[in-house]
Amino acid sequence: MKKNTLKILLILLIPQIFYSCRNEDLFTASIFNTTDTLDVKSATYQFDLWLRNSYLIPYNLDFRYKMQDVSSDMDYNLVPASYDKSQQIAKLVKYLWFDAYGAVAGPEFLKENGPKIIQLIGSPAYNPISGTILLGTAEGGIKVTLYRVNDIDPTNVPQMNEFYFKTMHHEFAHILHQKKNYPVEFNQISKGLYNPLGWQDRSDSEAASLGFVSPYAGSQIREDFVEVIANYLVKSDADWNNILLMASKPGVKNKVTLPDDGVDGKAIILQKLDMATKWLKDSWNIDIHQLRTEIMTRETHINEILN
Amino acid sequence: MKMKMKKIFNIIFCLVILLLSSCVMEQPDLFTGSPAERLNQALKNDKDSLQHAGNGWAMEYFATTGSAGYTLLVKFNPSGQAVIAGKSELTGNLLVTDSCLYQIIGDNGPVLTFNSYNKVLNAFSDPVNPDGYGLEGDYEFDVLKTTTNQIVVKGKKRGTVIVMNKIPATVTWKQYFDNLDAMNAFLFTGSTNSLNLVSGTDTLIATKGSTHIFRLTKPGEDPVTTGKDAPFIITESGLRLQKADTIKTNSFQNFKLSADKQILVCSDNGENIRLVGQNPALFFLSNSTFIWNFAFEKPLGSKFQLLYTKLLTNCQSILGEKFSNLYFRYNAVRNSYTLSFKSGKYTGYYDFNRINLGSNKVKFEYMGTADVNGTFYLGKIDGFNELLQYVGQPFIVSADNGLNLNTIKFTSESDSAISFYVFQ
Repeated sequence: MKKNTLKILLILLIPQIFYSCRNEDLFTASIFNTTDTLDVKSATYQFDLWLRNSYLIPYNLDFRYKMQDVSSDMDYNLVPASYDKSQQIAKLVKYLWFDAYGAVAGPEFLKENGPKIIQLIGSPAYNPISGTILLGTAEGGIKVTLYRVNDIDPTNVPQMNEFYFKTMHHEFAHILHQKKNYPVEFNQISKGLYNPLGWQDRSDSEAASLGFVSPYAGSQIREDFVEVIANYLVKSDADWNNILLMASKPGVKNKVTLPDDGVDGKAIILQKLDMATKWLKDSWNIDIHQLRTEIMTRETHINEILN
Repeated sequence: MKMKMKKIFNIIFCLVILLLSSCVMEQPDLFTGSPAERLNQALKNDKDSLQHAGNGWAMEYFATTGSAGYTLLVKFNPSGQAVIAGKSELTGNLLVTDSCLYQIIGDNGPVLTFNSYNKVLNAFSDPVNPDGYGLEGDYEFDVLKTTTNQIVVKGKKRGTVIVMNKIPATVTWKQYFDNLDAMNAFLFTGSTNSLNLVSGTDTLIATKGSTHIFRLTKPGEDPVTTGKDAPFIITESGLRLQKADTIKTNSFQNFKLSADKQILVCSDNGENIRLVGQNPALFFLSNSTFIWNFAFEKPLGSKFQLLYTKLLTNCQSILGEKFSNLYFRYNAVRNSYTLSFKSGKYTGYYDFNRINLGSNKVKFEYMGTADVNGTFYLGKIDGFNELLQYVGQPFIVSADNGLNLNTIKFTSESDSAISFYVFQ
């Protein structure tokens, strides 16, 4: 009898513990409120409505263009993104990132694997001591922060590729490999050549000759991996081939040819690209070449998107 | 076993009672509404207050605790858009206006955030020049106090207290900035003199006023190695220090220009602390390296006016030259204080001594020597001999603006019709 009483009490007690003092559902399908009524009198109503329909509802993604210092890195001095530039980049991100992946990997891919927050910052995040700037961050596979938004020039595709779209693909590749790790063999390819503190002192050709697609790729293994993907996706054929050409020659720094480093940079870069290609295909069923073609094609229609 | 089960039962029973009672162990509400409701009401009240000022607010902005102040005019629209105007060296001294978004958000309390880029406001926070830092100003502010005519906020990162005063409906923004420019020009444009901060028998020397960051030192002390900075902002009525300070036990922060425009007076707490200019005669005598130009566009004594006209006429008629300038300048080679002139493309000078007669009086004493051109014009042009006589006498030195000694006046002690102004 007492055993039964004990069981009943436990059954009562356990729900009570979880039940606490409230009886509301704590979780819904979305982590953001998708039902708030937007203020039609707000100066940002049309844009907010577009963001809701383009990001929040389909991707459960909070596109934060209004600066919240508390959610940015307080160690940096930053400024907010301008409202006009925010609208431009919101449309470009949708078109060149979300829709491009959607066309190649299927509409559900980014719903399942994409970030849940994109945050815009107007200025770069400067590291005065190292003389470098931060262009983007990906935090925990959830949040992507894009910096330097106020400098975007929609008429300059190479500039946008270098400072924004490459950053997007770079940060998204981080999110993907945080979910499914890249091949451990990748760690061995350029072992001993990474320079976490002095990467910014390498010239483009010096980095390429060592088998890195960019100086930043030579900072750490994981940056190397995502830089291969990001650069391959946004570089034109001419620019990509130029990297391979630089990689096949000795590095040049300050107009001085550096001693032979003994590394076949071109072969190394192509080996890394092959590994990334296979990983994207096997782990995510994404054909990187098809995705690149999709992005390149879309880049020719940017004006139509913004007008 | 039975005893053990009983103990377990008792413990669980007590736990259940404790948990069930946890929801009713509340104190009676001391405030109406939940904390969230009260915060929401506070946010709404603050937003209403911001929007209430139809002509906007004059925001007395200090980027950091060590920075000079800049006035920004801000209007908060109900749509969530803020319009901000500024006029300073950061805007090329042009009146620049830009719009951005703003919100009152909840944090530990209401926070006013300008959360999209505004080229006027964010000029203070853009991390360039030097890269990574810039001027390090805030664009998010804790709301400290809200009244009908004034809102006080505090920068979230830098902690500077920023006052926003309601702009009267009758003043346009351009007029407001013009008034500030006029006050700044009156107090500091071209000014090189220090001010004395006087409280009873105590005095501090306030230098570097034209930078809008006073350097306060005790008399006789070196301002570089001692003293402290006191950033301030120009206001329509005078100036306001970023932080209240004290001299002995008397505090000071807000200074208003006196009715006669000769001093700035602080009476924040009923004190009578004053910012006053230096003695004009001593200032003139103590800065021998300055060049003092005669200000012919300002009123001249009647006799000096006649002399000036004579010099203009005779230089033109006799030599075909325009008599264009007259100035005092120390000549280190000749160890004299020269009265120099320019006529056409020629310059010349006459050697004088300056003598301090005390009590605001200075005497210029002609030494009887001149350079070649000075000698030539003295012999050729009627009026130069008279000029040496007019200048070579005791003068009372004064200043129309006692706070800014950029321009000072010399009036003959014996004949008030002989007077002139000089400026740096």
